[in-house]
Amino acid sequence: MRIDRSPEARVASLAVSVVIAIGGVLMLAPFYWLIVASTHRTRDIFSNPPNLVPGDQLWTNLVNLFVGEGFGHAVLNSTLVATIYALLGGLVCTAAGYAFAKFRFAGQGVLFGIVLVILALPSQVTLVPLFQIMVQLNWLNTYQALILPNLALPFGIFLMRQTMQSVPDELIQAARVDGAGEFRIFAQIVLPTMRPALAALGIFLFLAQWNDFVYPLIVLRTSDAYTVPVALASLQGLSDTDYGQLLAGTMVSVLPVLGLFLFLQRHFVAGILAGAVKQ
Amino acid sequence: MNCCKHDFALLASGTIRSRRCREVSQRSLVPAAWDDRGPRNPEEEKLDNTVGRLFAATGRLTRLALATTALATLATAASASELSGTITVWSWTAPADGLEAAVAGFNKLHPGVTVKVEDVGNPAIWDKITTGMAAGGAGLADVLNIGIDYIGNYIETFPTGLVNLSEVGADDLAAQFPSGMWASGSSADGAVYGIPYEVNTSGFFYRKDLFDQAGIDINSIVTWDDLIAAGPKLKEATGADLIAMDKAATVADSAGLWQLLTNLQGAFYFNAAGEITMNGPAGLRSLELIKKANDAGIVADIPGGWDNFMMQIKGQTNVAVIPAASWAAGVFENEAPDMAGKWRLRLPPSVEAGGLTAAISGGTYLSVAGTSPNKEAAWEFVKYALGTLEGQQATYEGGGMFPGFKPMLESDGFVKKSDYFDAEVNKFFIDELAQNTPVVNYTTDYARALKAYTDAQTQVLLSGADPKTVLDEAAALVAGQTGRTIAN
Amino acid sequence: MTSSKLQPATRRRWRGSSPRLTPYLFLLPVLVLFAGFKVYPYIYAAWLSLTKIIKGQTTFVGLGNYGRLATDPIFYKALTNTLIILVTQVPLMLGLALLLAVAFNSTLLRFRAFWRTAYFVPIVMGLVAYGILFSTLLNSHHGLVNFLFESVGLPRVPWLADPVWAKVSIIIALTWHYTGNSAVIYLAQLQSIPGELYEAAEIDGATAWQRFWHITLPGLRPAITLTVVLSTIGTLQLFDEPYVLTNGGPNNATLTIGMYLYQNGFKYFDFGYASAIGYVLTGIIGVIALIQFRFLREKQA
Repeated sequence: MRIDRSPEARVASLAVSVVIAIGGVLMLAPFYWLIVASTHRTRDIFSNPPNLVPGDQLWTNLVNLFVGEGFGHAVLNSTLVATIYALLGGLVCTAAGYAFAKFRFAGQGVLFGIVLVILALPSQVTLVPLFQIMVQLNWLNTYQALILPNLALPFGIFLMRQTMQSVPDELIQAARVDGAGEFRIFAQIVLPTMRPALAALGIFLFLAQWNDFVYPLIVLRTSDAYTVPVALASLQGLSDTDYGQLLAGTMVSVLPVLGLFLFLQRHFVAGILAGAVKQ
Repeated sequence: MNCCKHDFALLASGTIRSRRCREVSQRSLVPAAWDDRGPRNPEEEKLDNTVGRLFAATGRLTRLALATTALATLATAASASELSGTITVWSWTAPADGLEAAVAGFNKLHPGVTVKVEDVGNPAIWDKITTGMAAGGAGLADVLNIGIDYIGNYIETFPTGLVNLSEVGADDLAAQFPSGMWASGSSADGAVYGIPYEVNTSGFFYRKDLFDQAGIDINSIVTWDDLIAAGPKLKEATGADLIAMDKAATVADSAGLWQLLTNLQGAFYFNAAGEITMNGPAGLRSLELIKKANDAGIVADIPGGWDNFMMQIKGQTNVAVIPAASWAAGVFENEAPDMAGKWRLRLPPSVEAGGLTAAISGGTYLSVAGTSPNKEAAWEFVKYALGTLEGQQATYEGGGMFPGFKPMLESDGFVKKSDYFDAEVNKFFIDELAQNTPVVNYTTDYARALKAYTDAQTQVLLSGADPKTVLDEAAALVAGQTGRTIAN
Repeated sequence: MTSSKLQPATRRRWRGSSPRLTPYLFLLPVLVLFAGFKVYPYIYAAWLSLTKIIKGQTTFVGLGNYGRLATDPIFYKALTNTLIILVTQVPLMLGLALLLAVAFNSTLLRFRAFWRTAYFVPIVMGLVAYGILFSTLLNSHHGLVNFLFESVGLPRVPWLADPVWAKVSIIIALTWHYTGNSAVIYLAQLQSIPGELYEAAEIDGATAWQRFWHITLPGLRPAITLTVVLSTIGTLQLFDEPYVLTNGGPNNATLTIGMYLYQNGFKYFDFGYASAIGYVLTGIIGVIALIQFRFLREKQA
C-alpha cells in the first residue's frame, strides 16, 4: 500500500493514532498496575487510593517465587507443553480445516456439526469422565495428558476452515493439473499462502494451553509438574496469600506469550506476497 | 513403661520394647492398658480384669506356653504393623507448612513411611478433591485437608469417599477436641470422618482509638443492640462506619455476620435433625439486627475479598469493628504493624443479655481418603499431627493454625501476651471454646443455604426488603432444592 | 495420488478429479482424537444428566433433571442474564475489533506493531490477577474509576453493587479482555484480501467508506462468521468474569448459565443437574449457531 502524504491523510492519520492510543493506554494500564504490584509486599499492594508508585520488593518477590516455590519449573513445563501443543495442534487443525474448506465428501456436514457440538458443550461437564480416562491410561502427571485430549481443538479447526475458504481454488486446481500429490499441494501450495492465519492459530493454540487451569489442576499431581496457572493457584490460601508473589508470578507468566506474539508479528502482515494468483 | 501392664508373659521375654508393644497389643490376645491414649471405655476394663483373673488361675507352664504362642503372634503382628510406604497429603499454604513441620517427628515413630505434603492452594483444592471424589475416588491423596463448609457435603454425597475413622479408633480422641467442632466433622449417625485441624472462633476486633475519640467505653457494650446504638455516635464523632458488609455479596462468603449472630443465639441454617431453621426466630432476629444497622447508615458497603480486608485493618477504610475469626489476629500483626495499639480484641457482644459470647466460626479437618492404598499410615499421621502434643506443637510452630486439641491449648506458652493487642490473644479463643456453643450442622446443603441467604441479605441491604419475607422465600427455595422440611 | 485428467480451467467445482480419500486422511487425526477423548466423556455426561445422587447413591431419574430445569426460576434468570450480555457485548466487541483490525492494517496508524501488541496483551493476563485488578478498580468506595469520575465531576457509580451496573462491569471486563483476540483474527484475514482490489477501486474513484463496505467487509466474511459464532458460544458459556467479579450477584443479576452450571456441579455436588444444564446449553448454542450460519452464509455469491 502506498503511503498517502496528503494533508487530509495526515489529519486522518493523527486522528486515528490518537483514538487508538487512548484505547491502547486503557488496554495497557492494568499491566502497569500489575508491574507495580509485583514490586510490593502484600500489605502495600492494597491501598486507598491505589498504589501506583513502584516499590522495592520485586527482587524479594521473584526470589521467593523462583527459589522458594520452584516457579521456574512451572514456567518451563508450561512453555514446553504449550509449544508442543501449538505445533502438533497446528498440524492437526490445519489439515482438518483444509479438508472441510476445500473438499466435498460424505458426512462433511455431520462431522463439522460434531466439531461445533464439541465446541458448544461446556468443558466442566466432561471434566470428570476425561479425568477417569487419564486414570485408566495411567497418564496422570504426564505431558501427554495435557497435550492430547484437546489437540483437535474445535476453535482451531473452525479458524482454519474459515481462512482456507479464501485460498483460491484455481491454485489448487492448477497444481492438481500439474500432477502434484494432495499432501504436496497442501504443504507447498496452500500453507505458504496462509502465514498470517497460521501465525494466529499458533498464538491461539499456545495461549489456550498456557492459560488452561482446571484440567491441568486435576491431572497434575506433584508440584514439579505444575504448569503456570496451577502453580499460581497453589500460592493462594485462605488468609495468607502472598499477593506480591502471586502478582509477580502473573507478570512473569505474561512474558512468554508476549514474546511469542512479538516474534510472530511479522507474519500478521503478509503484505505484498498475499495475492498469489497471477493474472 | 506404662503400657502392657498386664502382659507379664510378653514382658518377661525381654524382647519387647514399649513402642512395639503398643502397636502389637491392638492385635494380640492380651489387651494392654493405654494410659497415654486417652480414657478407656468400660468394655476394655472388663476384658482386662477377665484376662487378669485368667492369668492368675493358670499354672506357670501354661503361662509359658501361652507366652510362646503370644511371641509367635507378636512376631507376625510386629512385621505387619511396621508401617511403610508413601502417603501424600493435600493442603494449602500455611496449613500445609504446619503439616510439613510435623513430618520429622512422625518419621521418628514410623521411619518407614514417606510423607509428601502437597500445597495445592485454596480454593483450587476443592475442585481437585471434588473431581477425584466424583471419579470414584481416583487419584486422591491419602490425607485430605477439608474445610468445615465442605466436609458435610463430601460425607453425604460420597459415602465411601472418606474413611470412617470411628472404625479405627477415632472416637478415643473425641474428648480432646471441642464437641461442637468434633460433631461437625461427623456424619448424622456419629461416625467420625474428620479430625479437627484448624478451629476458628469468633474474634471481635475493635478500634479503641475511635471508641475513645467518640467517648464510648467498650465495656458498656454488652449486646449487639448496644453496639448498633453506639454506631451513629461513633460516626458523628469520627466519621467511621461501625462495620463493613459486602452488601452485593460479590463473594460467596458474605454471610459471616449473620452466621455469627445466629450462632450466638444457638442456631444455624439447619438444626441437628437437618431441618431448615434459617428463617426461624434466631435467623430472623439476626437479619433484623443487620437491617437496623444498615438503616441507621452505619454499615459501609465494602465488598469481600482480601484487598478490602487489608484496607480495613490498615485503617485506610475506617470501620470501628471487625468481627473476624481467630486466624485474623496474626494477620493484623503481620500486615498492619503501624496500627499496633489501636486495634483491640474482646469477646463478641451477645445478642440477648446474658446470652452466648462465643461462636465457632469455621475450621478445617484432616480426613483419610476411602481409596487410599495406605490407610493405616495415613491415619497414623493424622493422629500424630493432630492428636499428640508433640505433633501439635510441631504443627502449630510450622503453620500457626489455631488448634482444637485440648492438651495443646493448655500447654505452656500457648497463651502469650501480644503487644499489638495488649492482651493474651489466645486466651480469648480458648475461653470461647470453653463456652457451651451449639453444634453447627452444616449438612450437605450448606452451599445452597448460603447462596439463598446471601441473596436475601442483598435484597434487604440494597433494596430495603422485609427480612421476614425474604428469609421465608430463601428457606422455601432451599426446601424446594433439597427436599428438606422447614422446622416450625 | 492419481494423475488427473486434463481439465479445462473452469470455475465449476471439481468433482471426481481429487482422490476420494484425501479429505478423510486429512481428518484422520481429528477423528482418532475425538474417538479417544471425546466420545466417552460426552456419552458419560449425557448419562449423568439422567441421574441424581440420592442418599449417596447415583440413581437413574430419566428426564427428571430436565423437568426440574424447565421450572427452575434461577435457571431462567441465568438464561436472561446471559442473553442480555450476549446481545450487548458481542456486537460492541466485534465492531470495535473490526475497526481496530482495519486501523492496524492501515498506513494511517503510526507505531502499528506496538499498538497491535498492546491490544492483544489483555488476553494473556491470568484470571486471578485480572479478577483482583478489576474488583479493585471498580470498587465503588475507593476504586480508581470512581476516583477519576469524581475528580471530573461525574457521580460515583455502584459498579458491582447495582444489578444493571454489575452487568455493565462484566461487559467492560469482557471487552477489555477479548477485543484484541477478534482483532487479530480479522487482521489475519485482511492479509488475504488482494491489494490490487483496493488499487483498482481507488483508480475508479471509490471513497474510503466505499472501499471498506464493498471490498473489506466481504473479504472479511469468513472471519466475521468465525468470530460471531465463537464469541456467541463463548458468551453463552461465560463463567470467568462473573466468577471473579460478582459471584453472580447482586442477587443473581449477573448469574450466567456457565456460573449456574459450576455452582450446581462443584458447590452443590449435583453433577446430574449440572450435566443437564450443560446439554441444554449445548442445545441453545446449537440453535443460535445454526441461525447465525444460515444468516451469514445466505449472502455468499
